[in-house]
Amino acid sequence: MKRIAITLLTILAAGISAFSQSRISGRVSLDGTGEPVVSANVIVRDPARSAVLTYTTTDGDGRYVIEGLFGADSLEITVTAVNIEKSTALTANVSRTLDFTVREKKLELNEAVITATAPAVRRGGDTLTYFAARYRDDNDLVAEDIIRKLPGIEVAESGRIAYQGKEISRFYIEGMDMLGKGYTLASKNISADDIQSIEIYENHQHIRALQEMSRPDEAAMNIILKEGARGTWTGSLLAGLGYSPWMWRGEVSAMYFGKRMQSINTYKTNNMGYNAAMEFGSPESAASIIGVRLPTEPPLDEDLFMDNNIHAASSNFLFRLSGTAQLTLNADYTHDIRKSEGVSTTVHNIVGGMPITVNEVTSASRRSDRANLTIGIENNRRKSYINDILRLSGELNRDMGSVISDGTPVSQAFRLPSLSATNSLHMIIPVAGRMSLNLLSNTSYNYQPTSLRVTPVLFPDIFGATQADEAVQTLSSSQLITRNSLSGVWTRGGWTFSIGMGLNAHIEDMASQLYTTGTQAADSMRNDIGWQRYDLTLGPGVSYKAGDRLFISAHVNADLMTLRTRDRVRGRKDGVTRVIASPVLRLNGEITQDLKYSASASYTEAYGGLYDSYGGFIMTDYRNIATKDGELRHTRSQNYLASLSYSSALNLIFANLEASYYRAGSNLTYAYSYDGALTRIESVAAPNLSHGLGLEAKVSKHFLPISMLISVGGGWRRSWSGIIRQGVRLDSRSDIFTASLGLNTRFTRWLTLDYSATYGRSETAVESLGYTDPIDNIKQEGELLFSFGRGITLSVDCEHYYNGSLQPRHRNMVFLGAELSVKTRHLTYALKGRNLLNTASYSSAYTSDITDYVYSYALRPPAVIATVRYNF
Amino acid sequence: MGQPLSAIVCIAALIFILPVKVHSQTGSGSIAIMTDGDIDASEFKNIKIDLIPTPVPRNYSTRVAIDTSRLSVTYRYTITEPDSLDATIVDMQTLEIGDRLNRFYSRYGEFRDSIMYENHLDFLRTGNEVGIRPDFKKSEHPVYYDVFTYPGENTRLVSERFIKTDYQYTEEVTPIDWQLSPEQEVILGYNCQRATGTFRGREWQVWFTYDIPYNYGPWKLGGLPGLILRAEDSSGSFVWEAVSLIRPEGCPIYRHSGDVSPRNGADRHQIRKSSRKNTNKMLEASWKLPFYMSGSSQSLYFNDEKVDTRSISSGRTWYPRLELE
Repeated sequence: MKRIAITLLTILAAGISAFSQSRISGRVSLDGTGEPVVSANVIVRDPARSAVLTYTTTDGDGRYVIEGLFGADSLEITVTAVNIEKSTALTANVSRTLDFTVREKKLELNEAVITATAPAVRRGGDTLTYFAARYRDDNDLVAEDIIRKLPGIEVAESGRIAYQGKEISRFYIEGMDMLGKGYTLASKNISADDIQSIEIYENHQHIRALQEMSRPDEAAMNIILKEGARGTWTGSLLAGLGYSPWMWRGEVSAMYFGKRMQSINTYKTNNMGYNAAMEFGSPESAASIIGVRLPTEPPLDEDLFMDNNIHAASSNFLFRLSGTAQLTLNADYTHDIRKSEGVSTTVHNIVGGMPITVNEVTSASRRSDRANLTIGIENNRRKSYINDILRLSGELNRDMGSVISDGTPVSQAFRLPSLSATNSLHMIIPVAGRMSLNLLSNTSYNYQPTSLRVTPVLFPDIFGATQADEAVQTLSSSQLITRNSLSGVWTRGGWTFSIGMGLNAHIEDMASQLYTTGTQAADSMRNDIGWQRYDLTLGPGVSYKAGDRLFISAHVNADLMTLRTRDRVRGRKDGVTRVIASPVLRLNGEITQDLKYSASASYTEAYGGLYDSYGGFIMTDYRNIATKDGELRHTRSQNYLASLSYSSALNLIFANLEASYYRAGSNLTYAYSYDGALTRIESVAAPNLSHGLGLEAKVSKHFLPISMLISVGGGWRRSWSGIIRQGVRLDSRSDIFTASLGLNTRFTRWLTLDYSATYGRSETAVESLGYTDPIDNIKQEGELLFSFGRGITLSVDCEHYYNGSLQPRHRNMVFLGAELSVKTRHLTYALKGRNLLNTASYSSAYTSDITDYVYSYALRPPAVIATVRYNF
Repeated sequence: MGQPLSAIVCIAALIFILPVKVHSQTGSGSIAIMTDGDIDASEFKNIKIDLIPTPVPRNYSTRVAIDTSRLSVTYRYTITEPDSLDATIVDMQTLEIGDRLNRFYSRYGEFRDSIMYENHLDFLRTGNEVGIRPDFKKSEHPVYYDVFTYPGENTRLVSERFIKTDYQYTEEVTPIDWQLSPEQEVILGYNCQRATGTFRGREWQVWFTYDIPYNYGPWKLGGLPGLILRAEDSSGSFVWEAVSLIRPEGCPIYRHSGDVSPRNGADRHQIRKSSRKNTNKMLEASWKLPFYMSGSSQSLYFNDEKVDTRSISSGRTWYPRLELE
């Protein structure tokens, strides 16, 4: 029995000792001095394997304690620390004290390096670089789609690219600027697949000669293409078909980007409402003060209302002549026919009289042919800079219009040919170290012989008794304008001093005649004016920058102006020589890192131009006739603006508050007289003062956990002015109040919702007429975007407009559209529906001083459009 | 157009903020948008940004030496987004072990700062247009996250950079409860053993070698009886792997001070006190709102209405959050 017990105990003992709780403690000290070794590592290992079982560190007195359940007979205790020799002791797995005495030793290590290739460096020159990573998003089609995504970049619908709120100063492709201001041609056509990276050059100064001294607050963008896209022709083809009515769309583009030459060529045509000429330097036709009556265009997306038929072609080349010099050639041609239709009612509320109502049903068509040719040469060297651009343009616009005015049909024909040539020269000549002279010279010549024919003659009493049935207004103008300036800038510490001198000349000849066919124009209907204005300007400026806290600048422009006019019809000669001073003061900075302020104040004086002082009547459209006979117009104005903005990175709240005030006084007033449908404008020597106040605030907050952005804003504006209507001088005041709400959420990775609503109320008060009924209007916009992945996206958008002063059944207008697009490697398919709710027209109404205006514009019918795009 | 009509239209535009077709006004920094059917506004909002937020380079001239480096361990740091095969970010991060403190920082960051600074000096001195720019490969990207550990005081100073400011906070070094495993592996020629531990919500798997008796590792990981040569979190999103171990002869350990160099005027180096919670919020914001974190106010005029693009989200739901608690 005893033997069994002992055996059992032994087995038990053996068992216990197999996994025994041991407590090993001790002290680690230095050999010789006996000083404790603090924070040494004490490691416990199973001698059979090298793995660490547990560990601890020695305390301030060099002591350690190890407690644990170890499944080994013996344990290896090792003490390690920097600067001591590793010391190991073998001990049984039992509780005990174990002290160590260690020797000092420098740590010996096998240095090991895995070499990786060091990043290469490349020439560039910028202060902040954002690189576009390779795309995982299959929806990117053209360069613009990628550019939009770069932080700090906004791309407008027109394609203009802005960085941190300012439009980029340069757009390079592979470091070369081929398109100048017409860069949207590239961003909208270069395929996203061809782009390797996009660089932003902050504070970019393209002109090498200026880089030492200026850090402009502008950015530039550079597109770097992939190897495969360089040195070969690439491009795309697009075809689209739509109904109703049957519509087409076709586009082809071919591009080449090589080391010495770059080229972009495009041809686009459609009758779907897209302005294909948007990408060119001049997307719209020339302007004139006379013309056919056009219906007022609605504030909707152009393709909902624009009835067009456009062909636009452009060809652009850049040749790199040397390391610093380049030659650019751009040519474009547009042929477009646009039609529009609308209805309007104008009511003039005459003080002390019956209101005058004019009802019009308007339709117009404009046929325009425009061609531009630009040649530019630039040499951008470190010591000097020269850039010259010559632009030649010609266009011919022919408008036909027909108005049913109070039941009377009136037809109009307008012809607007325009020829112009412009040369811009920019030269920089560095002078001694920190200063450089900047020479800018811009000269342009423009010739526009226009004519407007109106049938029948609605207001025969203007012309004297006549049997003729057509009134003709011809207006031919030729002008030569040249602006030349030389300026110097130098900096010292935080101060910048600048001085500029300018010599400008504006020489213009205008001849106009208003007559009925078969008669001669009376002198009161004729103009033959020679206009010359010469300015000699001197503008010193100073600015001071104290870090981020304060930036203040003051600039005064002193202008010695000589004006000489000659009215050959009335045999008058006039001359004026004045000195005008226009000071501007600007202030901005930071109060704290989150709170920024800015303020500006300016005073300017302006003298009227030729079109502010012509003596003979000009019929500007079929029912408007004006003369500016009288004194030369002289206006003095002051402008004040102050703003405060708050942005908090932590709370993700952004707020902005802005206040403004302006005051303008003029020596004359334009008097409007209404005679039935005819409006007559004459210049009256009555001093005129107008002023206005504005206040605007906006707050937005981002809620990250629910991925929602909410923004709220409001504003109020009040302005006062003096007007003359029907010979009576009145004071008019208008109030505008707006409130807005915006919401943007991303429900999940594949669903986004955007919503915004704006409310506006406007009210006008005219002396003796009292307050008008206020006009309330609301605009709401919502959009849902589904991204299904694999290049498939669906968007649905809806717009709602409300105008309280319209007839009840016209008060609300709703527009619905949807688009489905599928992108594969080389092809993109899109199916789009617009105006799905068949809203036939857009209507709106507003009041200004004594006139109420209600209009309606005929929209395009609902349509379904299918397009296919192929990239090669 | 007739004078009164154009006056009416202009006033109408003012009243209802109608998008009159105005060409862009130069000089004022505002852009008027002409609506064009070609490009859909919806595409503007369908953003899935693959961009990594990058702060402005530091002002390299304000570095101050605070200790001497005894051992320099460089890790390759990779951040990989979930459901992604390729690394989103690759950075080289170095742990400099000194006598009094350790500094853990981004090597690519220092490299970028020094190049940009040389650029700037050269520019000021000679007007030389030739500047150099570090050309990182596709996903190589500095992660400006400095950790200064003071073993004597058991504290650490963390400095995270956003836009142009270093946000700093100090905290206590809390011990990590490491569980040792018997697996071993050779890394960089050293026998390493695996250990797992949880630190602030993430489970970390590390390999340490007791042949190098420093109780440190990359970032905030440490407390093992040897240098950590590899660390991975359980989701696989964060990996540090030692690629070099050097004993520099007398190289200093630097700290960026907040001084503003008067010469270049630009205070690209501000230091602000912050907290761990706040820097995490800023990290989240910089990944989710890339437009905002680029620093200054943006205005975009859309149909003559001002739109604040700063708060447009990037579409990311994940961001490299090292500490979940």
